[in-house]
Amino acid sequence: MRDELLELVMNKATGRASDEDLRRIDSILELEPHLWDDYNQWHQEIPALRGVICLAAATTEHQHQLPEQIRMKLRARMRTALSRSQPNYDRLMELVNTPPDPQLSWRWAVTPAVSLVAIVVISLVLFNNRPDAESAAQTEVANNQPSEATVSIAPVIQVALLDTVGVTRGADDSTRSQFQKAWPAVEVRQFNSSAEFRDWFIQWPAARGSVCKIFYNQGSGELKLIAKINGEEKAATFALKNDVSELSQIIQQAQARLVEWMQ
Amino acid sequence: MNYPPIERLQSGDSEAWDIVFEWLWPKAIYISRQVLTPLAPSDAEDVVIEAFTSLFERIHKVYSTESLPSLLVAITRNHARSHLRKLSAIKRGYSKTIPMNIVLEEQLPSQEETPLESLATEELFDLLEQIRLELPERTARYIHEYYIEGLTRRDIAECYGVSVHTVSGNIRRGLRVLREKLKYKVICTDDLPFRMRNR
Repeated sequence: MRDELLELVMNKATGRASDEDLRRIDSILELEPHLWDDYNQWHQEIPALRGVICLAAATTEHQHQLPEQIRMKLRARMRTALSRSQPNYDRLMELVNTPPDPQLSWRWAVTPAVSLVAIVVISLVLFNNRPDAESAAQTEVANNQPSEATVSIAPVIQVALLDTVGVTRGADDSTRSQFQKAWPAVEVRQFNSSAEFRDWFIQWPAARGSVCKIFYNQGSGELKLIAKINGEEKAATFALKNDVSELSQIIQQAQARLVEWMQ
Repeated sequence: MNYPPIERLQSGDSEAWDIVFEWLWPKAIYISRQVLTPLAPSDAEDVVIEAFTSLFERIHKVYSTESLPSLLVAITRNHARSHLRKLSAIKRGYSKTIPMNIVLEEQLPSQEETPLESLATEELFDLLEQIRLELPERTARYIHEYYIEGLTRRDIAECYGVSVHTVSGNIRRGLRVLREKLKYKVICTDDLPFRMRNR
């Protein structure tokens, strides 16, 4: 009788109950008054029950045909996902999830500082040990043209925007222009899916000098800097506090931080 | 139909995945359209592609190919709902910022949802797996066609070549199974009905 009542409640909630069904509900409740609690609770559960009916039916659905262009996209995504090494993705999530630690800034400074001192000491030792003739010749060359050591290698900077709803937002893109203005020599990439963004993120360019990835998530209003400078990784996050009008401000902060790192 | 073993899928076998794409696409696009049709029907396919991408990333944690429909439907449902919330946030003019990790995971909390809707992907997957193991596929179809699509029992009986009595019995038993699984998963049995489980 309980199962029957549940079915009748469902009929009633979905507008399928006949007059006979409604009378049957009354008679069941009259015969079994302890079912009143169930009856009241089932009424509340109907939205969730309808939801689970749809989900259960979805797992058995087989009528829609897979379009060929989507199959190609899925294949490409599958190859990317299953050939990508997992640690890279973990590293991304770790960087994204970890709030900036102020203590890290001075710790990171220790290694480059020690390295710099070591380089200076080794250079002085080598300089003092050079034969005089060679030294004189090299000094002359150095006077005429800059030595390799004095030529600074320009850092590689990559800028990207993650906007998972960019397609629906349309062409109005002041955000992109602000980034382009801040880094005019760099192509500002725009990603509409987090998967494509991850692909961009994990692929670091092969460069002799420093490399920095700058990315802005329009959904969260967060601007992140991840850099590899002299073999060291650095990271910083700048977030909008109120609204997007603060974007230019956090871009300036990011530029300043980048200059600081490069020095 | 024989579906490829999970190991072939985990190793990135293209032929195996082609079979699975054909098999799973109808399920995912169906639920994506169910969620998105009122507000963003044109986004349904994109959401499913993103859901498949999440599936690829989780495939090493899946033990059997038979579980894939439940997992993909759970992922797609949550991706679609998350997508709707993002559209809603845009309409509000980004008044609220969302942490980056949440955007990447595409799991947004909601303040206006039923206990079923609040289930995380793993919980929803678990619920659908329990239902799959106890509810025959055809019974799930009968219930859906009767309560959601609005067919009569006679229509359903004729469509599947069974008696009206069989359809009625299946619907009644199926409802009981669904309700029991739902209750176990999301509804507390204490004094307060519909209290959500701690997550």
